[in-house]
Amino acid sequence: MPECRLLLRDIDIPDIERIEAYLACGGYRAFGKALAAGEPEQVMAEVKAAGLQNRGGEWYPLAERWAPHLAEGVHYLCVDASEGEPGIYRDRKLIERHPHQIVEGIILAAYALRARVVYVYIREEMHRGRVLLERAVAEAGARGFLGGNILGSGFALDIHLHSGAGGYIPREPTALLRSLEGHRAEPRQGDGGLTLFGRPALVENVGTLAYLPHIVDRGAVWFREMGSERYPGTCVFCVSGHVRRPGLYELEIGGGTLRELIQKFAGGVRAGHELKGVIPGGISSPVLRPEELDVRLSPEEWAVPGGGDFPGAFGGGGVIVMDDTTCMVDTALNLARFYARESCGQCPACGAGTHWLQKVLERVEKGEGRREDLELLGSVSGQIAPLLEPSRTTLCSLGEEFAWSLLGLLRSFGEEFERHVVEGRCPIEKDRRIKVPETVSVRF
Amino acid sequence: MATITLDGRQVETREGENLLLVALEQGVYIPHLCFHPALSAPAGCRLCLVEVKGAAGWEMVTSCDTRIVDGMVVNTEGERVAQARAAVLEFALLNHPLDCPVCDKAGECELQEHVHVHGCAVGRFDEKKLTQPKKVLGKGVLLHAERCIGCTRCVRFCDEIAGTSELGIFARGARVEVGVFPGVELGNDLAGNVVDLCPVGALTDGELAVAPPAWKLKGIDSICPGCSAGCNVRVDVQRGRIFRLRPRVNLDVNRYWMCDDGRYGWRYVHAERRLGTPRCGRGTAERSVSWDEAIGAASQRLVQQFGPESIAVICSGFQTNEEGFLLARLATDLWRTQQLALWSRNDGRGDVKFTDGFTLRGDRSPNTRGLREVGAGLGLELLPSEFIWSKIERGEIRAVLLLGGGGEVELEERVRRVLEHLEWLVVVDILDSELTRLADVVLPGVSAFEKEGSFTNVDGRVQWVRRAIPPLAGALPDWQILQKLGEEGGGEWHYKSPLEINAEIEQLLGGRYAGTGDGGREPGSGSGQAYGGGWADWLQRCGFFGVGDHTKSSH
Repeated sequence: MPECRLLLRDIDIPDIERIEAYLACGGYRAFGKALAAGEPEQVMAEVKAAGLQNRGGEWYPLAERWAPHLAEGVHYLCVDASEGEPGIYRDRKLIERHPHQIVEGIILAAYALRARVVYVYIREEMHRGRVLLERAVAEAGARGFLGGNILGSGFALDIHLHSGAGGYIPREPTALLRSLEGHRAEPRQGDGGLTLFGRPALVENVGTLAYLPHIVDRGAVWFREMGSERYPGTCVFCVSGHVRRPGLYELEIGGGTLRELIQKFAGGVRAGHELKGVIPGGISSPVLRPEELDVRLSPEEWAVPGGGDFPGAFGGGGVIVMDDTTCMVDTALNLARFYARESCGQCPACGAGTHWLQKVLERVEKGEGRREDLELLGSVSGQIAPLLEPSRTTLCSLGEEFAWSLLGLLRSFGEEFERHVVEGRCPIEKDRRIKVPETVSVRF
Repeated sequence: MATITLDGRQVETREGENLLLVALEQGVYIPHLCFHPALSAPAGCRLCLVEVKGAAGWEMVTSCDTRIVDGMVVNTEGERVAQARAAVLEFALLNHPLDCPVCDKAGECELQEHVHVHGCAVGRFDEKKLTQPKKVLGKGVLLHAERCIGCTRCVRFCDEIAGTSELGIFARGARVEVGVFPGVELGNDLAGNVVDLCPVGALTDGELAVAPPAWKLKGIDSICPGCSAGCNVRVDVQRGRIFRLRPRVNLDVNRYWMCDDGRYGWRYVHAERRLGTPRCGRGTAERSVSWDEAIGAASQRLVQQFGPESIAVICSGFQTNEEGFLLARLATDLWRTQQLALWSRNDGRGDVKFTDGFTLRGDRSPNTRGLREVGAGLGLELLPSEFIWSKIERGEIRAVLLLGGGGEVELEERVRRVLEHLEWLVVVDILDSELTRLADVVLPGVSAFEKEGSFTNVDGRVQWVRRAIPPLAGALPDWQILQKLGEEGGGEWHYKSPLEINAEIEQLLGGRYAGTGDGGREPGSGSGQAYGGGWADWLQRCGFFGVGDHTKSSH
């Protein structure tokens, strides 16, 4: 199975971040077509026919989410470019390397939704991306693709970039909207949360919108030739960790297995080391053991990856590969620190729960754990959320996700946790240094 | 209409109602921390989770932001619900210092109560708790950030009710705490309400730090005498001392709130300068006398030396309707004068209206409207005080009976000169002041907290004022003083209590005044639900375990 590059097709072309190079590759042709047809509904119809699903990790059909807004249009389209999960860097690379593809995708989406204003909520840590995207927006504006009365069509659109104040939680659309309004980025419950400045707003992931130029340009039928029936198209996987060739790999959905992705594309683990575990779909998905990697890369097959009784989550396509220099308690602690720091603190289960788990894990990792700590870890995580079963003790899923990943680690590597307690020290020869890869998949 | 099944019981309610409120009304107590009926529901505390039957089986939902749909099946007591509650409470207690024995909120802490009922007796958190120093947010409100559970009731109050938005949530995760924005302090006129709203002891009233614990205070339902709004309050007392005022729920008057002027404005009641004995004579001739002597002297000179044309009676707006009734009868029937005036307190700033409509009234006398209406019922029009002042200046009025009763008095230069001009001044007041030093006879009266009667608020609502503490030794309520003056002047009154006078007012005026003396409840004081310690008092009234019960059982 070869790579199937769509979003990454032109990513290695020099100067593709400038509009001249993008136009030379057929850029803005899709938008031209859509404008010439003069029917925003046609863009919607094409997206619906293509069966495009959200790539931010939620995998909902875009057409379904957009449908309620079609009659009236939506005033604000908010683009979520605040990607910030450890091990996921797809949107950042797409923005930095190929910003015009993003801009065209945004324009097409805004055209289909008849949105008046677009806010791109971009993480300030992606400063380089912001600068490049800003330039791309300016270039597109100079060519008449943005502004009032675009290319004489009567369609008007402005794209504003908004830097987030830092934090992982704006990946929740309601939190992103609060942050855009100038409030604390806190998720809200219910439909009331999906408004911006009192008007209905739609939030869509930036990496998902990047598919629109391809779908509009080449048609839904062509798009459906890739991927599976339920999940057409491709997925860009971010492989990181102890592999020889980390980076972005774009594969057809269902086109290969996780093992192939790691071994064939990412080159497997470094010479002299053994694969120990894989966090397969973003850090919320429970860790997999080496024998559980023969699962097809498609969301529908991930309910129990590896054929075991182990629930999984396909997530946003982040694959973190760990070799034998990794301590799984250390991994859990690293995740705990991340979630404890990023919790907005509204719900006691997430704010206090992750803090508690972090403290216990710190003790276990230092070798000061007690036997009952292992049970405690399981019990507290289960109290936040039983494995992949939303318990609603938290408002959004942030707290639950850590509970899931910790329960996964306990289940797959429980014996390593036990050794920490029994031996009174960390039994793993850890190597936490940043590994310089031999090579990477796309230019960085 | 909508019919729902609540714990197996059919309940009739309306579509779209709030599930949590409907359950509470039905006597099904769903514990909650962040929810408050007057504020938006962020659904952040997760304590009010219940099970609702959905297409895919039982689903956990937060009842505070769930709307009633016809046919809804709700289970508030299942095992899953119990587990979720215990879990949420364990997490809420994680960094919460268990300093209940020294916490001002102990005994009326919602967290304490919920943990007692739904929580686990033993904590499993064995790590060091996060601690934070105590801070002053402004206006005497202290923040014990480590006790804060981040429910944001106080923040939402400042945003949605006061409209001043001084408070915000700071930091993240386990370290979230309430705070004021830099350079701002909690200074709005409703700020004291955040202490009531706080479900734990994170926000406390600095002045209450030395007060007895909540379970030793006795609450008396009464009406705030701080202005003409007539906010329904509960006066918390112990052994004849007032310790605090808290608002009671009355959706028609003050909703859930009261202003800080009223909340903290009672301190004169226990001032050192309270008058406890009648006095006669001015300046060096001043001497303490018995009540009989004082009444005799006051009445005799007023009636015998000065004719009806040259005497006037001035009230302050702090008299109850019943006292107004006696006063009007004293003036017209016995002293034969029509010169009854109202010298009302008005600080000149007018009404202050807050975002949600709560209004601090510019008329700082609690019963201006009632005195006017009772006077009118007896054929008397209450004159403006200015009218009397100028008559005194012209020498037409030479003797005055003046009733105060509203705390501190500051005399304007002109008023002082006018009063000095009088030949005979009888003052009924509660504090030794410039005014009482001008008087020939001083009769010690009592504050609105030491007497009974009714007030009519600015909207015409007649509400019964209950006696919260006994009158200061040696002082008498105005109605008793007026009765003594009346009997001295030949009246045959013999009223045993304000209730008897109230019955006559009812006959005279009827309408809004009918039934006001009925046990002090209807129609004035609304539902009688008390706020403070969250809904705990409300629960007590509903017959649920309440604040006191658990705490008291350990004493």
